[in-house]
Amino acid sequence: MPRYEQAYLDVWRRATLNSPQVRTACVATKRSMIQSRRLQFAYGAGQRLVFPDVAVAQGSVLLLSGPSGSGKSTWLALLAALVQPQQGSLTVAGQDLGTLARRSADAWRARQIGFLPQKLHLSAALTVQHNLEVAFWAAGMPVDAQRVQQVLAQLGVADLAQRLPSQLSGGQAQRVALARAVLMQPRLILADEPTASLDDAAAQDAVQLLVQAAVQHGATLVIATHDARVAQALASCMEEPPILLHLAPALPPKGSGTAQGSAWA
Amino acid sequence: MITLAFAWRYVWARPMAALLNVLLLSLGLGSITFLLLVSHHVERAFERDLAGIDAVVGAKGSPMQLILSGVLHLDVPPGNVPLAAVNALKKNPLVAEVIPISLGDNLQGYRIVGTSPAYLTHYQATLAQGRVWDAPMQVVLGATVARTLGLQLGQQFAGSHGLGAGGHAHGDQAFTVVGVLAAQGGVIDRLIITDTASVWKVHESAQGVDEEDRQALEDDREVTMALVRYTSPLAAVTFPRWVNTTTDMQAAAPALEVTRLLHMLGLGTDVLRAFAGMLLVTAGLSVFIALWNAVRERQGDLALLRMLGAPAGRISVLLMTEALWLALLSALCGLALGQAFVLGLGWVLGLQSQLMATGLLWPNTLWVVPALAAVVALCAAVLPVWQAYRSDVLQLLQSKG
Repeated sequence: MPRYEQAYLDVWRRATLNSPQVRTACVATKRSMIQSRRLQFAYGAGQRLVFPDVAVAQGSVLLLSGPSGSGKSTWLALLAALVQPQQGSLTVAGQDLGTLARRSADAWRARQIGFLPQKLHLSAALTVQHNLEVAFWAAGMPVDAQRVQQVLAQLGVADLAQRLPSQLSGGQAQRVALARAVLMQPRLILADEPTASLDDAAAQDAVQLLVQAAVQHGATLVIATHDARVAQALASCMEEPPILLHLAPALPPKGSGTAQGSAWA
Repeated sequence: MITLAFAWRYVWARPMAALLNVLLLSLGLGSITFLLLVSHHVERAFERDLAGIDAVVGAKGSPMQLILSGVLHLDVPPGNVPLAAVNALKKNPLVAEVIPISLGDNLQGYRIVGTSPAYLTHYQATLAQGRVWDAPMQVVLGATVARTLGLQLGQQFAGSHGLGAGGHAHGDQAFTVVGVLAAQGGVIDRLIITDTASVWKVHESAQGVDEEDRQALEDDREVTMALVRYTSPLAAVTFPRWVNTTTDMQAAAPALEVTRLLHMLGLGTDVLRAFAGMLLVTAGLSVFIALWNAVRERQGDLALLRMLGAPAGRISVLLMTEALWLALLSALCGLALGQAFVLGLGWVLGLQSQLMATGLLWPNTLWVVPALAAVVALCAAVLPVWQAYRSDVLQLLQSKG
């Protein structure tokens, strides 16, 4: 068993010692959100990434880990329909991404995917409110100012609406970025290293907020992280354990296509 | 609409760069506006003052001088021609109308033109006050003359010799104002118009000593030139040649001479135009650099917009719109600058009364300015937009692996 997974499991066992039912997953009873089979992707003639099969139910949390070059970014990009699967199948929120035309992929992403990037990427040119409104513009939809207010209020930052990102603290900025991620009521939220560069207390808050927001919107949460604190924080705020997906480094170009890494629920 | 609003916000997120670009573009566009307006003023003035005059017949010399002095009243005439010769022109079947023009005196720089009432009819001048002269030494004032000199009906004045202010005064012969013309925006506004006989009277009585001299002067009376209208357009071919070969006078066609003049002026405007073009190119480069930097700085933001579901095309439109905002602001500033330059120049050189009509003008050619602004901005935006179009969304996913 690779060291990463072991580390996660150790953290998880320690954190959930008092709840014996944590290891029992109930994937089968819920609707499937992510389902992949024999998914493969290669950039040009480079290394071929072969992803383990996964089945993730709606409302679950998936922790994605893996060393550099193992294809974490690519897997996220595949989920967000930024790139198309080259082999195998990937179904997200009921949509077979292998058959989604490039043109419709943008509209699909706008509706289904909430994204919390590591560097937040709040536009310095826009106020908090406009940073959220721009999501409606990006989706090609009329601006719903009421929805913007609602989401900001849910995350406790309604009073910051007129500020510029430069006038926000790190925690406030994190909340605004999260507000933007859940604005369109996505069914899948992708969080990329949400705790990097946060101290322990802030990391704990960030994860809790993320889970809260996902639960509130009934969204499935995928967190790509190296940070063991994420698992800890999850354990303290969730009854069910997260699904762990650890990706192993890619095989050379002529790899045999054996499944690497492992996924289990 | 939302795109416009967001583009506006992105533009003003970098106010110094935006201002600098608007300033640079405005200077280029302002110069072009200025050139267009000046040439429009000049051409309009020429067209207006030359309308209906097919030929000008006067003393031999430069044909352009004849036109400039006799029609546009900008230059001194080449000389005088005998009245008899001018009257002989009327017998030519190709000639429909002959209007004599006698120059020689001025009042504070405003020319006193001896002519026939046909001159007024030709320019469709209407009287604002008073009446047309019915005897020598009565004058009708152009609107500008009446306004600037403050002369009233019934007032008397003496002309000075020469065509510019400051000649010796003909103190003994006073003109009387009997009419004031309505403003027309043409050359006639700055003339003092009287009967041809007035000019003879002033000069003969000034020079003739006794009755015998006066009689002799009357015999070889002269006018400065004659404006001629043809009976048929075909005359344009034969009439000037006939005048030039069979008489001691020359005939000049205003249309030809003005084309020649504008062509010569064109060399000057070409230099200015090239200069303005260079300014525009510089401004375009500056906009390009600003947009390029903006796209580079905002690569992450733009990728995030893609992640939020914006198609690459929508991002391109956003950047184009930002460039077009700069173009719009610059076009407005440039047009305002150009108009201000023209008004300022007119005011400084006192040209309003000569070539330029007062007030703001919007000739159709001026639409070139906003069009140029848009073209420059869009050209400057092409590369940055392309850069943004193919920007990599995957770079957002920081957890490399």
